[in-house]
Amino acid sequence: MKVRTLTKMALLTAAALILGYIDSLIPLVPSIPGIKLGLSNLVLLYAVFYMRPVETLILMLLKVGLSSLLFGNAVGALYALAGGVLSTAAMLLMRRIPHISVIPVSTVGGILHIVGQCVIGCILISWQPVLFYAPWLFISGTATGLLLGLAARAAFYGIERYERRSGA
Amino acid sequence: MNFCTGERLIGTMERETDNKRQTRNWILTGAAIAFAALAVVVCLLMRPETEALDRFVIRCGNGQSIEVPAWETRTIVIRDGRIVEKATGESGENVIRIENGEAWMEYANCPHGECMRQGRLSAESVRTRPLGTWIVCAPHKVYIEYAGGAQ
Repeated sequence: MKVRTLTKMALLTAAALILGYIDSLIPLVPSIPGIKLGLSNLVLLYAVFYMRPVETLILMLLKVGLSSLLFGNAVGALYALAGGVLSTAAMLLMRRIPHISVIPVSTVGGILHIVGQCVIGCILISWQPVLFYAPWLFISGTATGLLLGLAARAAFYGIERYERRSGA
Repeated sequence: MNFCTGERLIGTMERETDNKRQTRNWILTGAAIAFAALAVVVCLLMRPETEALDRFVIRCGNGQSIEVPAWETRTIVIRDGRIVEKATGESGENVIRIENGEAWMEYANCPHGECMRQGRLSAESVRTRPLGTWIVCAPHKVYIEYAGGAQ
């Protein structure tokens, strides 16, 4: 791995951790645990579009592992890992579609993150409480996925314009 | 007679291609939203019905569960997935209170304490609570279910 890539990944991991911490400070719906903005997924979206698939997967594993170690616990890590693997794999597959925009990629990522978490919930707990949780999680996952997609589109536009200007 | 220069023609074609791409992207986004809506409907249809007896079922992390009649006044302490006598404040602890037909998570030392903010569970509140008949402490795998009476 090149030093440039390594540095970029270290910066992106740090950004994902900081965004994850900010995320944990904003309870969207306090009465329903697990509903978050998922700000750190902005970093993953960047990786999906501007980095290689292997690097994106490594970044996702680093994000899940380190954020669970710093702000969460082992059970939370399992949920995050299942959601992360499924959504990242789906986003990387969608990225292969020519000229795809970040908005559908982000929306599908948000939805599949919830699917992964529900599967782990069914395995670890039972399907009954998961069925009560799942509708709220699906609604929030879709909404946050869509919003993050819109935010990422604006950010990517800015990044690309900057790179064109600076000739990077 | 040709009204378009070559550049204009290329520009028009590019715009048409861009429009097609945008339409395809929005169709994909719509399909994803439709999938999520379908998943929500399936979950709502498959929700289990509450049973006839008015009681709370408390499930612990190790698969153990106990049923407590809703009319009882009782405090249940769970530590590391097991029901114990007294709360000590050690890690992995949940304290559940049942009183006047209501159950709630009185104390939990899970990372965010979200289960303590899920409110009180009762025959009346299950209709309006976002989580319906459940109070869930996911980190400690402790669940309180209201079973029966509301129907």
